[in-house]
Order: sequence, then structure tokens, then C-alpha cells
Amino acid sequence: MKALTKQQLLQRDYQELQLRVTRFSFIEQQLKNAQDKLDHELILYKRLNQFSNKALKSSKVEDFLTIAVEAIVDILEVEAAAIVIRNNGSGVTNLFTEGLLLPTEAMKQEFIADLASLSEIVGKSKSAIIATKRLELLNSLSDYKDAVFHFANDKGLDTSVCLIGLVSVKKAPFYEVLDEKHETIFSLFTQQFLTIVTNFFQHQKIEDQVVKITNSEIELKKLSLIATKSKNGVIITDHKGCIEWVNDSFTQTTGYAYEEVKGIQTINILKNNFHDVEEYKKILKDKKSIEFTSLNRTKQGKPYHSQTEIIPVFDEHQNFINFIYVITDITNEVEFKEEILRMNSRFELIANKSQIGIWEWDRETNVSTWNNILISQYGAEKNKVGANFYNFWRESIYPADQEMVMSNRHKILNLEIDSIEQEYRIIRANDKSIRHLKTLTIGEKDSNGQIIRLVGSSIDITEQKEADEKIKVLKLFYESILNNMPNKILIFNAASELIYYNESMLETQPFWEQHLFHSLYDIVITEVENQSFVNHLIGHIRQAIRLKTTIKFNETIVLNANPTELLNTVLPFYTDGVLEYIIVSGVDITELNLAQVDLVKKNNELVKVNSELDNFVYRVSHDLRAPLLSIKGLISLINFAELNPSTTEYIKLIESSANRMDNSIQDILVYSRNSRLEVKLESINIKELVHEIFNDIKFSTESQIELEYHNDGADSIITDKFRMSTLLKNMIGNAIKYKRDIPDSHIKFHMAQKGKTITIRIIDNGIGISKNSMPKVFDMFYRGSSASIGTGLGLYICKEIIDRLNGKIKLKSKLGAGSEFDIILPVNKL
Amino acid sequence: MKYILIDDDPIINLVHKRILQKVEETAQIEIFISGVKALEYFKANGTDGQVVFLDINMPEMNGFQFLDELLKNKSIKMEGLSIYILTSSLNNKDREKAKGYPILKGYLGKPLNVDAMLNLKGQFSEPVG
Repeated sequence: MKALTKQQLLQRDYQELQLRVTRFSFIEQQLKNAQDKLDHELILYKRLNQFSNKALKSSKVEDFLTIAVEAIVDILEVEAAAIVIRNNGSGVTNLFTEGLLLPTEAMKQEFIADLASLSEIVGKSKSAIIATKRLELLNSLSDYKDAVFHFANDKGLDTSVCLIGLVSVKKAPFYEVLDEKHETIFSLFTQQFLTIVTNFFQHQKIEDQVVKITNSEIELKKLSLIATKSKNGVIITDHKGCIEWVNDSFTQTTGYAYEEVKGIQTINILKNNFHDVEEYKKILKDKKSIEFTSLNRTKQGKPYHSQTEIIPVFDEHQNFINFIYVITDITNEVEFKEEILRMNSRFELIANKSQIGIWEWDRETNVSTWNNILISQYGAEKNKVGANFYNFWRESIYPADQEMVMSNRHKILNLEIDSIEQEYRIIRANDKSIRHLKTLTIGEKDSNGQIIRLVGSSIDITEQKEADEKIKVLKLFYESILNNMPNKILIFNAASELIYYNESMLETQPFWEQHLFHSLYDIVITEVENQSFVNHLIGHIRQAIRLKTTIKFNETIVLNANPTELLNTVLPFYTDGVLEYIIVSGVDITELNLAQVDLVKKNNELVKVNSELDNFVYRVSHDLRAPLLSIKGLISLINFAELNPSTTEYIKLIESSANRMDNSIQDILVYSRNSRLEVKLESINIKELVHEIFNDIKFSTESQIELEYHNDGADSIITDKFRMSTLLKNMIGNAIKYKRDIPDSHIKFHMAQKGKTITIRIIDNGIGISKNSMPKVFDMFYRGSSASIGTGLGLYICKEIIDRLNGKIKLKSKLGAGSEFDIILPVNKL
Repeated sequence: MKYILIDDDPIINLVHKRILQKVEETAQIEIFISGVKALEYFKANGTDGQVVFLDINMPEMNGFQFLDELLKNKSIKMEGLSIYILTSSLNNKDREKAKGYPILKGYLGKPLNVDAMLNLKGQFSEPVG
């Protein structure tokens, strides 16, 4: 590699230096340009400032607008500018231009319309550069290449403004192209412009109002000369009564405008009694005004009350020239008065309907006024009492209450109290009965605080008082029942608060006394010792309410080591489906339980004794019968052929006696069984039973007798087999035993079931029963005659059996003809 | 025919014995005044087609207790026996209770009489063997 020569090195350094100089000068130029640009912008802002100062000094809006349109050209450095101001309300539009050539009105209108279309595109309160293409579309702006536009609308002033700066195609090369810089500065300009123009317009508006007020003041002064009372309607007529002038109040009251009534007679508008010629003349003669009230209608037909004063006016020569009508609308006053009257009559009606007595006593005149209700409350006659109500009233008061009532009256009169509500008794004048009154007395005071009048009301509460008294007595009555009954009562309200307990409850559970009006849920917390019972109670009450039914539960209470067994009933009490009370009623069943235990024990003992007795009876009957049966057996072994007749007769008598004794033992046994044994129901066939018994007895006694069986219903009936069998044995046995010696001896057995009873009728044609014996046949050990062969127990046992079966027996009989027994038994069910 | 009378009343036993002899001259009759004694007899001699008339109400061992003991004793053959209750009891309970013993041939009231005996004779079972 060859080293560079010194010259080559120098040359290279020089070239480098030259390059740097070139580069530096370029930067310098750029900086200079920027400086110029800033300087130019500063100039523009200075111009904007100058505009503001100048504008603020201008006194007329037109001057200001001229300055403004010139300023646009200056500040934006554009060729031309325009401002359009339009009042939206009136539609008046003003155009101010600079550098624009719009020689005809049509061109001006076209230009204004084009700006309006631009404002629609750009929108409010915004400055915007408008593109050339957009300008080409608008006829009046098609020659322009560049534009900046602003549109504003002030609602308060009801005014819209369009501002525009323009550069034409022709002259474009001489002007700077519009850019953001112009947009910004134009935006600032428009802000200032709008502030100033707003001020102008507001100022204008205020000035206009001041002018208006000044004008109306003048008018008012004019009017006040004639109609000082501006509130009242005023009419001025000429001497013929034709309306010359009316004021605004007249129009307000009557609805007629001045134009409508001018020249017509007042009678067409106001009803009055002033068409009377005499009256008319009198006014003119006396030169005095007159007043009248009337009910009129407005133009719209609405009625109104008026008070009218007609004043005749005379000139200095005392010539009558005018009438002045001053009309006051008194509709409100009239309606108010009517309302008071209505209220009064309504009040009177209420007082009548509700039987309220009302009175008033005027201190100054000492006059009392009573309404009819009060008079009838006191049983007085209006004409008899006259005006002297006070004395009558005082004498009517029940003597014992007089002191209190008069003392209260004095308290009001002495200003100790304002009013008094009290109850006292009176003696009614007509029937001298004592009545209870509830009264209110009020003292009415004047502005000095002195009583000028007493007013009062009175209600007869005798019936109510009596009813209250009755309820009180009834309450005491029920309370004394509740307190003295052995049941232990607690009553809770729907909120589970204890509202009642009776004395009996406190005997076993004294703690309830501490909890009157306490909630059950508080009681359960505080009553630690009785928590278990209260808890159970709460549970059962909840259940009773849930199921809407009565709940029973047992609880053992221990008080002073004495256990008490309570059977409690919880009854939720409803009125119209709403829970009102919960009634807890406890019965002390300690004794009952003991008694029950005792009863069971006794019953067991009785059953045992009964059974023993039963065994004893059988035992005795068996032991009594055993030797009898031996006797009977021995007799049967005797060969009567070996004996002489008298011995045979004795032995036969022995046999007969043994038989009777055996019958007696058997009867007593049956009687004993009937009285001790429980009724045992079972289904039996009555037909079979009757035939079996009949045949047994018939054959064992070798009797000639027939049975007629008749049954309307079923043969099978439910009854006690042993008793029915014993009963039929006795009845049929008797019929056979006491049959007559006639060929057609018979027994008729008839049975009929009707409803809930069975009737068994046993009819025979035997010897019958004498009248004397009939009442006694069912007695114990009664025998119709000494010839009777029975024990005297048969029918007695029948009667006893029928009693045990809850039946009845009736007897019809005729001596020598036969007997009829009616046995009526209830139908049983298994 | 062999008859066995079990009753604590000697007079009624005599009456019954005579009635049986009236109906059947050749009747062989054994009398026991207690169930205990009768039981001993059966244990010692077995059964031999006898007709037994058994009273209910007896001291020591009543009629039903006697039957229970008899049935308990397997060595005594019951097929050979015709047992009748012969009682003066009017107690229905006794009659009901008797229905619980199928071995019983009948329930009779005292005293036996000739007619009733003649009726019964046809029913008596023949001795075994």
C-alpha cells in the first residue's frame, strides 16, 4: 500500500471542510425561514389584537361589522371576506363584504344561500378550510380556490352568523395557501367576534326594553288619571250611557275587550236594577253615587258576582257629562259566605243525625241558644223553657253532680281553663229519669282575653253507660266463674303475651303472677325453674295454631314436693279466621288418676269376689242338690208293688217335695247368674230355640198343647243366649203349666222387628191371671195361689232378665180365657 | 259289661249300682269314692272295655283332674274305655269344660234312671280283644 502524499491529504481535508460549510449554510437558511414564519404569524396575531381594540371602541353594530369584515382580510391575508348575520326569529339577514363584487340583490341572495349550505356541511361553532372541489359546486363561490369558513348560532339571541375568508383561482399564486395556521387564527378571530357581537345584541335588547317601559309608564300615567283603583273594573260612559272607555281590569273581570264594548249600553254587560227611570233621575238630582250588587255572566258565560258603584260626573258648570262605573268582583266573597252557610247547615245536619246537643250562651246579653237535640235530651218543651235556658239547665243537673258542674263552669269563666270535657247526670224533665251526659264546654275570648261567650256540646250516653255497666257486670261474672272454677286458666293474646290467669292456676303455678303482659318467649328465658313446662306449653301452642285445633297434653307439676298431674287443653281462639287468643285450661287430674287406680283395683277385687261367689253358689247348689238327687234316685229304686197304698202316697209326696226343692235351687241359681253375669251377645236361631224348648217341656210333662210360630223377620237374632233361653223356658213353661183342660190348647209365638225394636208376643188360651194378681206376677216369690206349683221366682227372673236386656214386658190377661205377654227388646249389634 | 262308678257320695253310688243291676243283671260294678283310688286301679289292672261314670265335684282330685292324670299315663290304653260325666253340677262352665275332652262319650245329670240307661246301652263300645 502506498502512503498518501501530503497534498492528497490536504486536498481531502479541504473537500471535507467545503462539505461542512455547505451543510451549515443550509441549516442556517432553514432556521432563517422558520424565524420569518414566526415573525409573520406574530404580525397576524398583532393584527387580531388591533381588531379587538378597534372593535371594542365602535358604538354601532354596523360599524363593528364593517371593521370585522375588513379584519378578516387583514388577519387571514385573503383576497375577500364576508359576514352574514341572520335573526332566526324575524328572518332578517344582513350581509357585510370586503373585496367581493356582488352588484345585484339576486347575487347577494345567492351568495347568502351558498353560505347557508356550507354552514350545514361544516356544522356549528367550528372553523374549517373548505376544499376547492366543494367551492366549485357552489355557484357564487365557484371562482374561488381556497376558503376558510365559520358558522355560529346563539340561541339566547336567536341569531346565527356565517364568516368566510376567500382566495380566488385567478389570484391564488399571489396568496399563501390556507392551512391549519389560518384555521386556528380564524377560530380565535371568530371567538372574539362572537363575544363582541353578542354584547352588541344584548345591549340592543336592553335598550329596546327600556324604551318599552318608558312608553308604558307614560300610558300608565294617563290611565291612572281616570282609573285610580286599577284592580276594579272601570267603565266610563257618555251622558247617554254608551261606553266610552274601559280599563284592563274590566276586561279581565268581564272577558270583554275595549273594542268589543265601545259605544254600547252598559245594560248589555252588567245586570242592574238601574234602568228604572226614577232611580236614574234621582242620581242626577242628588248628584250622589249609588251602589248595587248583581250576578252577571262573563263573555264566556261564567257567572260572577259584582258590586258596582255608579258615579255621575259633572263639569264645572254642573252639567252632567259622564257616568263612571267602578265594578268590584266579589265572587270570592259571595262564594265564601255561601260556603259558610253550607257548612253551618251541614254541621246542624250532622248534629241532628248524631244526636249532638249544641248550645251557646252570650255573656253580654245573657242569652242562651239551644238546638232541638239538646232540648229533647233534657226532656224539655221549647215554649215552656222559654229563653231562660240557664236556670232550667241548672235545675236539671242531678243534685250530687251540681257542685262539680258549676265549679267547672266558673273555672272557664275565671279563665283558669279554656275548655272542659265532663260527664254528669241530669234529671230529665219529662219522665224524671236520670240520664248520663257527656259534654264539652268551650270559652270564647275577645281580643283582650275576656270570655264573651260559652259554647258547648252534649251527648246522651245513658244507653252506652248502661251497656258499659252491663259489660262490666258480665266481665265480673265471667271473671268470678273463671277464678272460682277448679280449672287452671291462662289466656295469651295473639302476640303470646299473658293477659289472664285465674286463682286456681296460681295454686299450682304461682310463678305466672309475675308475668302478666309478658311474652311467653320472655317468660321461658326468665323462669329457669319452670322452663321445662313453659317450653312444653310453647310447643303445644305452636302445634295448636298450626293445626288450628285443640291440643291436649298431660304434665306433672311439682310444687312444694307435691306432684300435681294436670290435663291441659290448648285452645286457639279465632275471630273471622284471625287468631285472637290462646286459652290454656288445665284440670287437676291427680285425684282422678288416684280414683281411677282405685277403681281398677276395686273392680279387680269385685271380679274376684264375683267369681268366688259364683263358685260358692255352684258349690252350695251342688252340695244342696247332691242329697236331693240321692233321694230322687232312691225313690226310683222303690218297688211300689210291695208297698201298701198309704206308704206309696207318702213316698210320692217325698218325691214331689224333693222336686220342688230342686226347682227352687235351680231357679235361685238362674237368678243369681242373671244378676251377676255380663250380657254376652251372640247370634242365635230363635225358631229353633223356641221349638226345642217347647218340645222338651211338652214331652217331659206329657201335655196336649200345640205351638204356632210366626215371625215377620229373620229367625236369627243377636241376643244373650243363656238369658233368652231362660226367658223362653219360663214363658213357654208357664203357658204349658197353666193350660186349661180344653181340646185346642195352644201357644202362639209371634215375633216382629220394627225399626230398632223386636217385639215377641206369647199368647196362650190357658187359665189366665186374675185382676188382683196381675200387678204382682212379676214380684219375687209371688205365687198366684196356694195351688200354684212354682217357686214364685219364674216371672220375677223373666222381668230381671228383660231389664238386663234393656227391654220391657207387658201383660194382658183374662181369667179363664188366657194371657198375652209382650216382650219388647232392642235390636243389638255384634 | 263292666261298669266303674267314681263318686265320693256312697249313697248315690248305691243308687247307681242298683239301677245298673236293674238294667243289666250280669253287670260287673266297681265303685271308687275318689279319683285317686280309681287311678291306682287302672294303673294296676289296665283297661278292659269298662264303662266309666265319673263325678266332677270330688275332694282330693276332681273329675277333670282325674281325666288329666289318666291321659298323662301312657301305659293306660284309652281305647278300651267309655267315659261318661255323671254330675249334679248345673254349672255351665263344667259342661263347656267337658267339651274340651274328646275322650268323653257324654255328659249326664244325676241320678241315672232306667230309661236313660237303656238308651245309653246301645252306644257302649265293645271291650278290646
